[in-house]
Amino acid sequence: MKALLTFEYKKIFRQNRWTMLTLLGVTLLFLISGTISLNNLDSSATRALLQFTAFSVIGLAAVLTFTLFAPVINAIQNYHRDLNDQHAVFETYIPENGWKRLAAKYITYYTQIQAGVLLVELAFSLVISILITFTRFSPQPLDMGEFPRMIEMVQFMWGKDPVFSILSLLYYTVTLALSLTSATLFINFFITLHSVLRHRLKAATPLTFLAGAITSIFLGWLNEMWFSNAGSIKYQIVSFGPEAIFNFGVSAIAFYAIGYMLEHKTELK
Amino acid sequence: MYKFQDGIPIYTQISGELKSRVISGQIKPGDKLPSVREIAEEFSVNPNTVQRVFMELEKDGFTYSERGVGTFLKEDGNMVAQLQQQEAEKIRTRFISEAKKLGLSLDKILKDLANHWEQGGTQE
Amino acid sequence: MIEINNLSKSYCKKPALINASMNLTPGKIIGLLGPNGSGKTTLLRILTGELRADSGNITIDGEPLSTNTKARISGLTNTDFMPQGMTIDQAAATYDLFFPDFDRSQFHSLLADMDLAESLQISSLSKGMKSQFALALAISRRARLIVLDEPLDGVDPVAREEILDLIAKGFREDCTILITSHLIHEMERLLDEVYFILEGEVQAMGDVESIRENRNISLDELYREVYRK
Repeated sequence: MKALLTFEYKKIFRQNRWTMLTLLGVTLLFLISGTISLNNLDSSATRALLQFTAFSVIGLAAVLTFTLFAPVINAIQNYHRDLNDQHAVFETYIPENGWKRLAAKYITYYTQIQAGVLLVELAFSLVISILITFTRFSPQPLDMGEFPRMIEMVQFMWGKDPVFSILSLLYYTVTLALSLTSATLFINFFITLHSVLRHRLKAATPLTFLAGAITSIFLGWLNEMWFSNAGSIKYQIVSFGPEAIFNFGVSAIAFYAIGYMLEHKTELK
Repeated sequence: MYKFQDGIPIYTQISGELKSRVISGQIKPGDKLPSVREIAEEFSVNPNTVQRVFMELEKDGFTYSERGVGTFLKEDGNMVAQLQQQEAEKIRTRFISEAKKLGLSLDKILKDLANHWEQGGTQE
Repeated sequence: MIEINNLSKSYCKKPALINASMNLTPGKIIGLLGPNGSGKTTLLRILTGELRADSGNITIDGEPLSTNTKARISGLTNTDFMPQGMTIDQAAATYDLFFPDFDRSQFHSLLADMDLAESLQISSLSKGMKSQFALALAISRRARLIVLDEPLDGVDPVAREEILDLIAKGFREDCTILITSHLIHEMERLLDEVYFILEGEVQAMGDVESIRENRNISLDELYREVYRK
């Protein structure tokens, strides 16, 4: 297992080290420019200053969105390459079973996704705290329809028991990352299915797409049926209830199925 | 890389090559032959083939092997002469059948050979 | 001993291998010879685990092919099979990591013979060099079965000689080397036994030296004879 993990980590690191450094640098850049501009913002602000502020805010938002979703896309891309690229051949030579190989991959994917989520949340909380403490604006109830809990959590930090708030922060960070990871699991299931069918059915590609679409509709319908819709999907992701258990169950089944396919059924191009 | 002839077993050809080396004195009686691997590498062939060469040479009485040390050419004073004789017989047989095919008479051949002996033959 | 029994495989209903059977004994270099598209690569890729057979079975020392048996099989089915961006050194380290039977010192000496520096990026090597390096990796494993798919493919005549030498160096008493090639003439001198394949059907032809002795022809000519329409 250790060998597999070393192998997978090295693969990701070799690919992504420059992207990671760039992201870090760009994030810091926007944070600094944002801080400077917001500090100087008041009723006598010039047009240029307003534009600069907008630029920093939008830039930061773009970078953070990218940081959040890039590891997710990366996980899917990497997995697809591992089954379709030239180096997929080497991976087939490795005398380790499908579940172990999948676990090693998913540990590395999760690590990347978690790092992305962490970075985003830290940057985000930093921005909020800058807004609250350093600007001359009063803390307005900003319309953050997507992540209401994050506002709550920041309010915790400045109000209640710091230990509790840090734990909550951690909890939300982890659950978000896990949800994103399980989303990749769902997609990678169909990528795996494709490599099982590729030499058996002429229409393997469109069929797998179709199967994927049907399954996601079906799961969504199940979700609707069984779990009362308390707010947006995003809200459900960061809570812990029957929906989370259901998602966990589906993910566990998907993981086992993928491992089984990798072990006994997948074929290369 | 050593060029082998089609249609003749490789072990026969390697055997022949080793024998010419004995005749020419490259390998002397009592000398240790290169290992199976070394010969296999030299000729770029399968070591099993070379193994067969060694077995045949031993069977025919040209070599003997010492366990753990290697295979040696027998200390036989007659060996070189014997091999030369064998080769000469092969050449002679071939020559006579080719010459007969051309319909040449013994007389003509002898005269021809005598005239061309000094300068004749292919350049080495 | 590796037994291949009635192996069949089709690609979307198109048959590539039809009831192929082979017996691979250790201490032999065995050739599977035939033209392109005859099914050689398919058979080899089933051995390495890249493809799955539709029917038939393969056993290695009595054990059916599985993830565990991969530890006893060393393959070279594609020259560019290592992940991107690795140096020769890193590739060797990866082999060390996954294959306990990898002989790093043999790999070192083979590379030294080739005059290849281990710090080189694999992507910077010429096609011939890449083939040699990949072969050295495969050969340096103390496996029961070494599987080489068209090791001379796309390689210039000079490097070809070196590759043949390399394969000869990889010979071991307890190992079977299975080579496929459409370059029958160049492979002849290395082979102990030979199987012919055409359109997915495999025929055992036996010991190569016996063929030369009994029929006085080369393998090349024999192939043409066997498959003359």
